[in-house]
Amino acid sequence: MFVSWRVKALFVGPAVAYFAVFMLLPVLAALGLAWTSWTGFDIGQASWTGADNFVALVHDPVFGKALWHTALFVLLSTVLLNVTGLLVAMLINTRARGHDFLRVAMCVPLALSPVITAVLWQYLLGPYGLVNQLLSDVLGITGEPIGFLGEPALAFATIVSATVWQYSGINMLLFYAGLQSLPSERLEAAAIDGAGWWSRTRFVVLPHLRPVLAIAVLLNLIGGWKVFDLVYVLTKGGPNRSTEMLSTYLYEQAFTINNVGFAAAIGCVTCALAIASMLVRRPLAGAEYA
Amino acid sequence: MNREEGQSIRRREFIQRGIALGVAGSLTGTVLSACGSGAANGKGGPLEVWGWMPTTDPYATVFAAAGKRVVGDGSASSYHYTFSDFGSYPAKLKTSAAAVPPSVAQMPWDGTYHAMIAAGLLRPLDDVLPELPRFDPGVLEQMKFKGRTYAIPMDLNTLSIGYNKAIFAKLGLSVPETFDDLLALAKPLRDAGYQPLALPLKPGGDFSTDTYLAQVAYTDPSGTAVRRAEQGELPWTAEPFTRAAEQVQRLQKSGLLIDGASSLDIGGAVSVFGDQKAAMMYAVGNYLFNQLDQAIQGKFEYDMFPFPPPSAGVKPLATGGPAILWSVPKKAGNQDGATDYLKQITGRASAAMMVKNSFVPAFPADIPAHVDAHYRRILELQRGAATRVVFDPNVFVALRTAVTALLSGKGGAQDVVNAMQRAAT
Repeated sequence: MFVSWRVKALFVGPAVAYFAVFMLLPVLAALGLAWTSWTGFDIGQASWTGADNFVALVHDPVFGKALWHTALFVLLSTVLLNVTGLLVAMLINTRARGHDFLRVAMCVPLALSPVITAVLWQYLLGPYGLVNQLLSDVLGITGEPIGFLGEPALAFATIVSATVWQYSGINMLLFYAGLQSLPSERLEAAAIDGAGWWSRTRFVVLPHLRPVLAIAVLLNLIGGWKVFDLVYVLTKGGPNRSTEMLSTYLYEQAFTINNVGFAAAIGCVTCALAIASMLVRRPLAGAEYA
Repeated sequence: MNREEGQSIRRREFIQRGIALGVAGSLTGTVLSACGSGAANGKGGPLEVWGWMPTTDPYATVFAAAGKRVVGDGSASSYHYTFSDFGSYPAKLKTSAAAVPPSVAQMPWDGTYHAMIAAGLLRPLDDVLPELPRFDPGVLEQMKFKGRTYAIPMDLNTLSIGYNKAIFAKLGLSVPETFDDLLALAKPLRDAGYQPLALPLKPGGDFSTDTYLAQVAYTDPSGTAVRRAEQGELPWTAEPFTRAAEQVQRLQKSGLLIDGASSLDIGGAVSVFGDQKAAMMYAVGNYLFNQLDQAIQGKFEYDMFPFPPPSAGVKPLATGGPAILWSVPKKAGNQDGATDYLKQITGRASAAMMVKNSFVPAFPADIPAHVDAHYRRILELQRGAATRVVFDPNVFVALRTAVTALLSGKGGAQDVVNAMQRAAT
């Protein structure tokens, strides 16, 4: 059936326009602003500074910290989200008792906004929150409150934990869908050949899940580089910038200090890192699915 | 004409009619909207006020009453108040200021004020000042930028240390007269199982800058050092700033601060103070009375004292500054309405409402003989209060970060002043 180019444009146009206005244009604008000095008020006052913002990034110790923290967060959260998601998916796939409950329980945090999750964790893990009260007043284990959000290493671990708690349900669903598509004959044949649980997992299940793993890792990497809401509400990058991320530092520069050009340069670096993360998909998925 | 051609024509007609209908609708909308705005302009247009006080807060009732009086005067066709929480308010205000700003905006003290002035977005209000009441001179001085005033203070925040009178009486402690006396409270309170001073240091919700500026009030008796430093006339490494940082470092080392202060926000501080786990808390002011009453529930009485002076014989100074500031964006639609709002919000009727709600007007007001004891105490403290506000956004962030680090045991006093100096340059 012949479809004229006008009709095609009618269908594709809105999506292209949406992408151009809300995605492409802001990215290009940020790319341009990164080479300027601008306070964020009157674009007419923006002045060209060349690569000064990028040079300043290299010499800025806070940016160095934020980059390191974000990279560490990306690594830890990606590994933990996938390990947790895979293990739970395999457990559910065994149809063991309570698997339905587990599946629902893993998905409930997904329904919450990250801000609500952060406030919830704050109530639980604050210096005089529920957990500290339980440990000191009820159980008498600790004398002074544990700084889940106040000690640098613990605060970072808390953010990673909250992320895993909130998002491992997505990975679980992806892996569970992948496991559902695994023909049971393959597992049965492997079992008849004498393969134990680990061998079946290593040589049958994991190779089958490679394309799913590639997508899950890719989503986690991209999500990790732009983590903001959980960190902003839980610690605002503190204490002493020990949980400062690229996004929280960008926010501070853009909206507190009004250093929009510098913030745009941080945004460009973040964007470049997220794009570079896409390179992992091909080797992870394997040649067959790449 | 074959079938395909017929369909093609019908489709073309359909599209043409659709376009015609769309254009007609748009024109009608434009005409109606123009008529509407014309009607509004007849009374000066609507008065749009922005702030971060929730609509259920007593502050919002003061705003609304002033807004209604502006409408009653005929300076505005209607009054509308838009609330945004403080976390997102500065960003929203800044992004709207260059395009479609409100008529009057509550101005944050976090650096937004100077940034907006520097960007030429605020209207100088010096011409309105003669028509307004006589403001607290120290506070009005803080509003000046290169000799001009761009914000009007409505009321004041006087910040002090709140203390649990029952715990102090039980342990035989008295209100400290010097800074050393304050630090000496740490041991007896900890020995008795109490956390001494609940000081919120959670980033973003911290009182680190206030703690530091409370010390500057003593190290800079002239009250001009911050403004001079902001205008480049004094380095941030000058003696008043260094000595204040040293006092803050002594505070950290004394053991007076509550355990877990670095992740404590003001809500958490109120909670531990109300539960009698902490004997003192900072910063108590009239803005917190309701929350404190809810947390304490009549279990004990509390009172307030300012951060004590470094040595005996010096008058204790409460610190703080403007609480609600109002600015008028240059591009605000209804400038007359905005001016009238400034008059109304600082008028006698507003002052009476503020006093009724335990707010401290930034201008002379009639105080009834019988008011709440805490409010009376705040009014006493306010008489000698020293106002210190850092408006430079770079310096503000550097100061907040460095003092929070210092109070958490990271870095030294010199790091604080060096950080401010670096940020300023």
